[in-house]
Amino acid sequence: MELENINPNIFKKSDERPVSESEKNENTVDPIDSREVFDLIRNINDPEHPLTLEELHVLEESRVEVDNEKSFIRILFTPTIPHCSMATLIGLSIRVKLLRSLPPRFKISVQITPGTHSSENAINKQLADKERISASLENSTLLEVVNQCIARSNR
Amino acid sequence: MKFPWTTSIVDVLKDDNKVDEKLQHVAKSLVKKGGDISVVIEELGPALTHKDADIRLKGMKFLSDLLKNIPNDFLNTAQFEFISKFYVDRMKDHHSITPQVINGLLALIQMKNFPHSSIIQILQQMFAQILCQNQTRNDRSNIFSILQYASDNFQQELETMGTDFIYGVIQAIDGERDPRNLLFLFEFMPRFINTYELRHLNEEMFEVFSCYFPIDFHPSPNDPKAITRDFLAEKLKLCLCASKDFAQFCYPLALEKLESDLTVAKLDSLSLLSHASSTFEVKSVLENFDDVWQAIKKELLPGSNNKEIRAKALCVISDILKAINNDEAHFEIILNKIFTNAIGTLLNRDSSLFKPTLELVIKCAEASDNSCLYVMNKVLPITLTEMTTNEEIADSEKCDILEDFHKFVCIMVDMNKLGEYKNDNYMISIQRELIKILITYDSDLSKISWKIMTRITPILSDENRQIIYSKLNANLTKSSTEEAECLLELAKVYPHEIHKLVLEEHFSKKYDNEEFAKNIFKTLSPLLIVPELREHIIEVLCINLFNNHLSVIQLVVLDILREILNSSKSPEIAKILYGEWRIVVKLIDLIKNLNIEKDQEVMYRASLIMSLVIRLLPNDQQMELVEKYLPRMKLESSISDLYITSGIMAFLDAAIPVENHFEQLVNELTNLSLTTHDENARKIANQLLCSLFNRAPVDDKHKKILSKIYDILKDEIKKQNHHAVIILGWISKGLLARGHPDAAEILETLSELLDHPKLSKSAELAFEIISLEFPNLHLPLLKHLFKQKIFVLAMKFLDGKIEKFSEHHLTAMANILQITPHQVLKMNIDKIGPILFKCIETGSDDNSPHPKRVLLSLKIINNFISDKHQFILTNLQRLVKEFLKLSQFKHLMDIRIMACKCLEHLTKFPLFTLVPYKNDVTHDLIPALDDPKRLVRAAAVSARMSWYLLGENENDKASNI
Repeated sequence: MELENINPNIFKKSDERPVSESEKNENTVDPIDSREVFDLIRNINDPEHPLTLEELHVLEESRVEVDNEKSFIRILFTPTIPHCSMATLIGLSIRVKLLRSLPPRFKISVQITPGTHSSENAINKQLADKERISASLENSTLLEVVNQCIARSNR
Repeated sequence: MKFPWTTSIVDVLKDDNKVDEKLQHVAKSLVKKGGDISVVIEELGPALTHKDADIRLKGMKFLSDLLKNIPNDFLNTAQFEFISKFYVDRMKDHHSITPQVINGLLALIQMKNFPHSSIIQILQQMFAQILCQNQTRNDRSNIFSILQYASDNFQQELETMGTDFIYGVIQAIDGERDPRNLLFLFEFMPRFINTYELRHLNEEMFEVFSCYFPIDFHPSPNDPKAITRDFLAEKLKLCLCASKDFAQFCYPLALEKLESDLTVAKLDSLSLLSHASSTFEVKSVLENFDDVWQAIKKELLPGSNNKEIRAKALCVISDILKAINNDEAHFEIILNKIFTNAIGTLLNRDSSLFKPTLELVIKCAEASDNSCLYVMNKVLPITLTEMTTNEEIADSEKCDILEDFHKFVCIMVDMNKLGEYKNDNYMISIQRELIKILITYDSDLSKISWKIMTRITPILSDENRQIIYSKLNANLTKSSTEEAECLLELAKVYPHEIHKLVLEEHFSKKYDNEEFAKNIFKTLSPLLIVPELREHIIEVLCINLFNNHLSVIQLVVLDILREILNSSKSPEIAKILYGEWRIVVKLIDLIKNLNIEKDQEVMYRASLIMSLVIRLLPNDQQMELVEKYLPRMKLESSISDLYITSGIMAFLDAAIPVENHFEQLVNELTNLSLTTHDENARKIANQLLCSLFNRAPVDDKHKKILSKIYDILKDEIKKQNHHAVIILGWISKGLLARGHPDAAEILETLSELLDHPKLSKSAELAFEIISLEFPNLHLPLLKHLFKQKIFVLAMKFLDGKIEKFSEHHLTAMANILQITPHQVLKMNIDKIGPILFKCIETGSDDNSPHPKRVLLSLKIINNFISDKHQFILTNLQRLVKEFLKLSQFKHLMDIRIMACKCLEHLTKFPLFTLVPYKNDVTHDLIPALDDPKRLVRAAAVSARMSWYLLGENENDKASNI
């Protein structure tokens, strides 16, 4: 397969989140925040390169919006190039990883950062469609590819 | 001589199965009587010339074996001539006889007086008549041995044979397939190639070895002493580089195989290139450099993800640079070739080639001292340009630049090349930039700048040093680790400046602010290791400890002293503190004069410092202190005496006898511990008891004292005094650690007390005391494997009762299991398995189990899971159920985390055993995803993902291979 983006720019990974005192305290409640959600998805692998979505700046912490009270999460991701054919796959991987890692009370929206992809609306629509998401995961080949992207993030 | 049998030799060889015995007999009598071997051969005549090849074979075997069995100086020249002629002749005989001919020849040429002239004839005939490849493995090995022995011992004669000999050898060894024979050849041939001139046969010889490259060999799994592939490859490499004339063939071979897709081939080729560069002449290295560099570039820039290949490729470059280090004319040309592309990339940090290029450049710098200078001359301007030209550069990027520069500085220091840059303009400019950062920033950027400064202290200019001192001085009370390290480096190089400008100015008084004092002591106390500064620092510490009556400051000083005494330099400093500063006496005075109500913490810490100093003294000084102070102590009436005793006794060497004071000490300590209301004092007393009983010798006198104390304690236990149970726990801890014979009895009493209606809780605590390790408790005598012993004893006393599964028993047992080595637990898994299960079982909600016990047991079970123990597999269903329950355990987050971890580790078991539980686990972990604690959520996510991805990783692995 031909690579679409041969020499992408690589950015620095953020450090591991330090464990705070209040997190070690038995009695305090740590709300789910944007950093925690970002940590769940930042290590997902790009389908094309052996790099994480964070390193390619496809995902950035500032583009992760979390409302713990209202159980709502919105994530904007930025494809490396405007005509990237992998955008849907990346979106799907993010979605699947979050579906598996977050409590079911959350409503999750995964979208492309406005103005960064040529067929932004179409992809957003696909990613918002629950039926299509679950249908795509019935496809064992596709599921395998998604699992591979996610699998490395788990190590 | 005559043969000792009546029938003809032919019949003997035909029928007799005891030929060996007879052979020995002949050999012995031959040697004894000084007989002539030619007579024996004549006797053998009929057999050796028999028309049946089988008989001839037996005859030859008899003769060859005979040659092996006679002493190696038995034959004279005439006999040698005769026998070797005979053997040469025999080579033309039937092929089945050849092995015996070879056998005999091998014995013959190794004899002492073997005439050198005969070897040529033998070898010529051997090359002509015997096709080595047709022989069996063993016979080939014999032929190789003949070649080896001949070439090692008859060099002069063989050289006259010229290329015939070389050609014969090549033909003989060509195409060998047995790994053991190959190994023999690979070890012997480099020597051969170096001894004999190969002339025009260079290429032929090289071809013999090159056909094996790269080695593809898998040892038979049943071979007990298997030869490994890597071992063969290593030896082959030596053969391929054995002669300098091989260079012209070796480089093309390595480069060709480097293009392969096989990792093994690549690795072998790279290590061949490495070896070639360091063994062949510089000339050939230079001739082939362009091709090698093109090939290496492909591997490195951008290169593969295989770390091993990258490392080996870098090694090649490094070896080449090492090889040409002394050739100044070409050195620069070669490095220029490497750097033509590299410099451009080094200036563009965003490029994906940047990281590999940097790796390459670092390797070049490390290769040799000349290359280090070359690289630094390129790197310094680049670093300076990067730092100065772009004003808008982000801090994080500047940080990266400096991080990389730090690596180069470290190499410079390691290569001892720092001095060359003392007056280098670039270096001075970079220093200036660093100083600018130090003055203006206070972030990661300044941290890395400090790190670089620490490295380059010896070449810092006077002016820059002054700026650094003032910056350090300003930060003395809030200095970072990097600053402290830099200060220490500076102190090592410029002790007098530091003394004058830092210590005298800023460190010479009594302190009253706790935070302030803590920080400044922490920064400056590491300077103690510099002899010039030691006195000043100790003086200030002592002023603040003994003449300052603020207990917070005293605590700070004591803490600092503790850190110093636990560091690696401690023996030296302890000696100075004890000798020059008389610190032990001063501490004793300090403890005596302190207020018991207010300053107990200071007393405790001071006694700790005392014991740490005493621990490091020689035995006679320790002894002196014991005799001087112990008799005066009144433990029951004075708490400060207790602390002083603890200070003297706590870390006393095991060899110091304390028998004279033992009885009094233990009596007073026991009474004190039973009666006092001061918890701290009780703890000290208990620890001292533990340590004292641990060191006491096992003899009648001490046994009596022990049983007296034991009786007192038993009486107290009858009165339901729970302190007595605790004391018993401490004493048994000391006794168990040294394997005392009476320890078992006390442990039994303790385990019986677990059933006691009132004291069971204390007994549980006693078991915890036995299992815990206390950092300040000194047990001079530790018996080998005492933990196993405790486990065995505890199993004996508790096992029967475990059946009832009382809470206290389980907790006591979990404590013991915690200290038992994993190996021992493994051997006893059948017994402890049910206990562990019971320990993690959560009953109905109102009766929730002891959280600590659950955690301990989970950890042990987790170890078994990591081992992939069969026991886990047989109980999988039950375990998964319990783990899932525990993932929502209310009272302790650590248990929830541990349960999730156990679940995650379970996924390492074979897929088919796990699949039945997949849905349960992924479903029942959902509540943990919404746990109030973030750490639990993270563990739950990780566990749940592993279960979702069951089997994926295996596919992944398969595709990687």
